[in-house]
Amino acid sequence: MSGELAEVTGGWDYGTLPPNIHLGEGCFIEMPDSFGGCRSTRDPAVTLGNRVRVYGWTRFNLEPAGCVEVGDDSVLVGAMLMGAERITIGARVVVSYFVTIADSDFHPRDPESRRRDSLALLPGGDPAQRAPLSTAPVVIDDDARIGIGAIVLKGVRIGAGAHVEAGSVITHDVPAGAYAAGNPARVSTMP
Amino acid sequence: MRPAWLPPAEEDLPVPVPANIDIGADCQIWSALAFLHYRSERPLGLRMGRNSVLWGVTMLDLGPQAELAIGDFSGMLEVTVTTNGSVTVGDFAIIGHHVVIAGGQAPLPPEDKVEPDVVPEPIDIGSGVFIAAGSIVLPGARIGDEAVVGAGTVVDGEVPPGATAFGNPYRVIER
Repeated sequence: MSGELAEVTGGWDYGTLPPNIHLGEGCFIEMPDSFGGCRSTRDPAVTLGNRVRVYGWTRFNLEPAGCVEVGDDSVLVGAMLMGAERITIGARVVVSYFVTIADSDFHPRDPESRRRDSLALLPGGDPAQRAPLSTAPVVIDDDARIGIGAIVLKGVRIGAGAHVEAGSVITHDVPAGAYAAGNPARVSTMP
Repeated sequence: MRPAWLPPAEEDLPVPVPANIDIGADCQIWSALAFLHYRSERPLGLRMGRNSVLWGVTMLDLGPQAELAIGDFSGMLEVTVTTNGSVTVGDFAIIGHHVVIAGGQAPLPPEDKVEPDVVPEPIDIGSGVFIAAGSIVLPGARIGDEAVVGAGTVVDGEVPPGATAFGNPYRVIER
């Protein structure tokens, strides 16, 4: 296998990952790029259970204080995980293509604070001058299924076995076993 | 040395190009990475007419029974197709960035299939259709000729010819 092909088929050396990324047994990570945006200084920053499968276009984009935990046998097909505090994903969860899961808004709501936040982040600014991020952990329980392109925002808990349908925007908790669909998402018991 | 203006040689492509495809004259596929998860066993898993393009990071995650047929002069930009069923796209269709055409709510890549592949309902996208960025097209979608699908729409049923569809769940404005 050529080096170039190994970088997109999971055949690369997982030992090259930073030491605060902990993999269970039998994990598969298709592309090393998935961890290119991981700036977390915590240890563990990312914990994957056994046999977790991470396909290309999944991104662990973590702020310094962010961390992600994923349970056994879960499949991340193409999630954008934006973490500033904690994102917890249970066992046997499927997270589909182009899903976004964020545990913070990453910028202040108040316009004046937001201007100062921009100045701190943009060229010539000092990122240390940013306002503290407002965060709330996201929890996705066992056997949940997050459909294509869904967006799960901060502070949300998605109950065990719940189905989030394609394109949904989730701003409130979804009970175990329920279906959530639409923008904004509505929860029902029947698909 | 191979001139830079020539496309890469077959052996230099990052992913092998499958044999069961038929690509018409003057088509373009931006990267062979589009075939990373391709595993169609149909006689022709991918058909493209003439002058059609798959530009940007395209993903053709086609199951064993999947067939994708694209007409002439159609442009698909950064589109993901992930299904084990049939998808038909007409002529002069424009399908925008990050559109997903899928065989289910949360389809799985090949190595993760726990059950045998089921064949979902076909998806039919007509000629002259315009599907805007971020839309999701699900099994049973029948998008009539010259219809417009607004950005971020989730379509899983009928859109009449010439109509405009938008929203999630989607609504339709008839021509």
